[in-house]
Amino acid sequence: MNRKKSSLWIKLVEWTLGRCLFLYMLLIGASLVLIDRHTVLNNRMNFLLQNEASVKAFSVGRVPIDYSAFKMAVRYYTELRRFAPRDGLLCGNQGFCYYHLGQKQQALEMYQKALMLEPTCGPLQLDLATMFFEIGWQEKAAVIWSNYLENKESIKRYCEALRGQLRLIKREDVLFLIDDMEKSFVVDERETYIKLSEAYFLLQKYSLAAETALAGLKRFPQNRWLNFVAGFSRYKESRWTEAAGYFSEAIKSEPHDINSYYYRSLCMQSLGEPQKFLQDLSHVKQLHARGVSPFPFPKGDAALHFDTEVLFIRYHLQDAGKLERNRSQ
Amino acid sequence: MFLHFLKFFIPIGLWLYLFRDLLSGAAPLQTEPFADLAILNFYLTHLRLGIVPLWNPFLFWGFPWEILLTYVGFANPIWLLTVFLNAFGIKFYFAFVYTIVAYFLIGQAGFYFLAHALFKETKTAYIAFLFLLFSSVGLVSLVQLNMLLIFVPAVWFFYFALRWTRRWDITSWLGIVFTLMLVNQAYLPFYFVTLAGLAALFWGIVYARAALNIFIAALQFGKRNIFIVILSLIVLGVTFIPSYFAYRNTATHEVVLPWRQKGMDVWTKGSHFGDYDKTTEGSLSSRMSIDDLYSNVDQLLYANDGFVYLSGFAFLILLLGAFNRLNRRVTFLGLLFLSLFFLSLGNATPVHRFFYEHVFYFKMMRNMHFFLPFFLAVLVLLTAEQARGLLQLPEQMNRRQKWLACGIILLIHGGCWIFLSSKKNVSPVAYETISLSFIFGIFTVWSVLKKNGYGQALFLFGCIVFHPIYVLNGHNQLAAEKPAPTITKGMQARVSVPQFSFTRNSPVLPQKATGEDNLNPFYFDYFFMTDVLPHSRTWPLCSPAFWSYYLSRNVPENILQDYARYKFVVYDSVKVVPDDKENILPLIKGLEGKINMAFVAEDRPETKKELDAFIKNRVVSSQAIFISAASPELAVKHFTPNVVRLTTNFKNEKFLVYNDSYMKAWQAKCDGVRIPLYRANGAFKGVILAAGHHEIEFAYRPLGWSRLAGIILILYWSMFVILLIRLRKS
Repeated sequence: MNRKKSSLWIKLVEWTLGRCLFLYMLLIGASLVLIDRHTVLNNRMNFLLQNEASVKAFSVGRVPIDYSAFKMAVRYYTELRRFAPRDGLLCGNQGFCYYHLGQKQQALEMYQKALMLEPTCGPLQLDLATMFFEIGWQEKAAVIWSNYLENKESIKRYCEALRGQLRLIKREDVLFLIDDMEKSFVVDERETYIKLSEAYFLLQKYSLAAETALAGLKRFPQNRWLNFVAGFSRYKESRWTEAAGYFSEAIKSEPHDINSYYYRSLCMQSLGEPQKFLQDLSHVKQLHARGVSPFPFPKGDAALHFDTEVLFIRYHLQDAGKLERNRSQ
Repeated sequence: MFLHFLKFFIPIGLWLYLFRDLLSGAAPLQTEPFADLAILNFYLTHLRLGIVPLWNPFLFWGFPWEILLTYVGFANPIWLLTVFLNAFGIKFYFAFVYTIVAYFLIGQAGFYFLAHALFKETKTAYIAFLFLLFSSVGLVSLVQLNMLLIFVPAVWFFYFALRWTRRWDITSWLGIVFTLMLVNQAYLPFYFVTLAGLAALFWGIVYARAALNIFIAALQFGKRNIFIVILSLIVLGVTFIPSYFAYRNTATHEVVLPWRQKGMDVWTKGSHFGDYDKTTEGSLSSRMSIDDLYSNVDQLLYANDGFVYLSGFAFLILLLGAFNRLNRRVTFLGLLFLSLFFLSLGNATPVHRFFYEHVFYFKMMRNMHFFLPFFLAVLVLLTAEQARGLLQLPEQMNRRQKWLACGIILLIHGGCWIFLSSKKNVSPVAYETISLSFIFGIFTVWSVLKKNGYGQALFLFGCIVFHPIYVLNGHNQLAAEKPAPTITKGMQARVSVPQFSFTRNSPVLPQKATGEDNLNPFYFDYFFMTDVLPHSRTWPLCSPAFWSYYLSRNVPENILQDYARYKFVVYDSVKVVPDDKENILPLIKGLEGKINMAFVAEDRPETKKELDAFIKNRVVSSQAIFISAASPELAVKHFTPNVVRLTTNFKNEKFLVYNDSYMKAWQAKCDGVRIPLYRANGAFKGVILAAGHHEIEFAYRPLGWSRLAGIILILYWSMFVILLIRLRKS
């Protein structure tokens, strides 16, 4: 029995030695022994990092969109996350790439995963809020943005602490990096005020929109959109004079702000200022003729044009006398 | 005959369709081939006028062109096709694209002949041809022309070598010599040398006795054809001269390579890399991971020149081939594949380190992924050999063995299916290929398909090509998405021969912020042959003359831009300074103030004596004369990239500085008599101008090169014609 068994083994070895399987085993064995997998991984990550750099450069608007780089970067993050599954920023960056590749569902999932891992990361919060906003979930977006604005003092404190640490280790030469970071937070802050008021505006929560806009105006008094939102909320509350003031500020910042002209004209109509009403309305018409488009809201391009025409006609047909009366009162 | 034609016409037509966007211009060339295009444009534009440009006077204050001529394999007869197509009204850009595609297909033809000579079987050769045509060799060759320029002659070399060892005829010998000539003048001959060396080594080991016989037969061939062999060796020696001069310029530090060398190495290392990591940074291990073999294959990046892709069917054949009998051919191909694969991985295996330490030229090589086409070709030959063995098996099997074979086929195909199911982003076409391959395997075992019949051929064709159609189509779409507005502009451009101008233009750099691509700005200047001042951003991208680069790194850019805008400056006095890199401050002040004193390097003991009159000369005016247009005192009579001829007529003796880079190979003549040429103002050419009417000539004459350039071209072209005629006869 044993002899039979041993002869079977010998036959098997003979058979294996005479087959390509033997060569394959040798080749695979040599590969397993000689290839340093750590170096392979290191080389790979270094190479892919170049693509990540191009994605980051795009994010600050310095190079044109290169979809190939985003696709490569997605692969990079997928590979890297295998080794660092608890890194929220990697998930966030991958979400960023998906977002620019137009794969919004995957982007959303990635950002949510990222925020679960890094719940206090400001940039991630802002990105996720933007995503929510774009797919129509304004309420979720508004919650994140308002949280962000409430915590902005903590960002300042964080920057100050960083500065202190750098001074402590005598690295004043890199303090400018913290300044840059803080500047970017200021930009984020302004954008957040704008977007949050926009979100409330779309949700037709005009009082909240106005509140946000007014808070934002304290920090950024020249901002066109914030002035417009503040003016619009006052207009809705029939506070014509205040509303007109905000609209004027908005026009000062952006002379082609067709929306502000339109709503200021309505304020003027209510205030009994026919000349100013007509003047603003003419501006709207002129701007429209020049191809200046309003924001998609509160009125679309065609709707605004139509309403302007209607206002003109109404004024010339019947309301001229009424306006004059308002003025005399 | 018609079927034979159809057999090649269909796959090539399909391949061209899968690269349709590149051929139509919808997908622009990438930066590397665009640089090749620009270099060729400069070269061929001048070649049409009967000049081989050895110097480019338009960029970097003039720089030697030899390195870039070897970069595109200037003497390769294939470029005559570009000239031909361009002469027939096709825009230069498209003429170039069609030429490189044609060259790639010539390489594929060579591979078919090589496989045919190796397997002595048409079907196996055709399988190898299909696998290689639809592999990533085509993808990488079109984004990295250097690979193509070495791969095609290498393939034909091995074909002719194999043919020669069987026939011992003159035609095959001429084929070997011609392919070696092409390798000789290529920018990267070392990849071929390594491949040929490894192939010879493993072949000698596996076929030891046959190798001895061949060696003896080769000696007998040499005895019989001693004249032809010696002549061939002389021709090979002559054709090596351009590459040698390109190398010598860097070895003697006449030229620096800042795009290869970083930091202080640029001044000392020439083309050798001092840092081991530098030689491995472009290895295959960094460019792809093992997952990329089966995942995301529909997203092959257009610009990636280090990517292994082979039809999924090849891997199934290789797995099934494990049960084939081991023979010498498989052993030889397996060992060659593995060694090339290890080398391409760079620092990930000790193999590369061993070569780096023991083989001198490995210190000049980086981009180990350039071995990719070679090891892929070897892998394809191995696959074809396994396919041959598998297709022959059913004839020798009894019924029981056939059932066993079916079991193995099921096991391997099922295993692959399960493996792919466990991975992410695997395209559905991979499963379809497995299914098709499974059916084909079962049909083959039970002889359902007639051996060598149409059914078997169609099934094989489908199995090989089905997967790549999907993959290459995805690649084509990605290629079209890649933005390259500057290159797109270059597509439509018509470039005329540049004329001499007394001044240089300011550099125009692409503004990234306004949506331009990342094209290295000087490529575009190459392409349009713009006479332009160098910019600090463009210097590290070229191979400038040593002293020009030194000046650019040590003198503020605004001073240099202001000074070198004018090509000719006339001085009354001269200051001789030591010929070293120290104490550049007086020169900076002199250039900034445009003072009437040239700074001449004392590179010969007699310099001071020759310039004695100028050293003691009384300065007539405080400022030097910057010439901005032709005048009765100085006019340019003749201008080519290699030669500039002036007429001068100054009342007094002057010192003329021609703001074009100084190199030792430049010569100056006055009325046909050679005069000393000095390195003036740091990096430029200076001569003494005698009073009165004279004709001054500046000519770039690297030793022997200038006279040989024409001979070398004729040698290549005539050799090509002779080989074609002899091949047709045989």
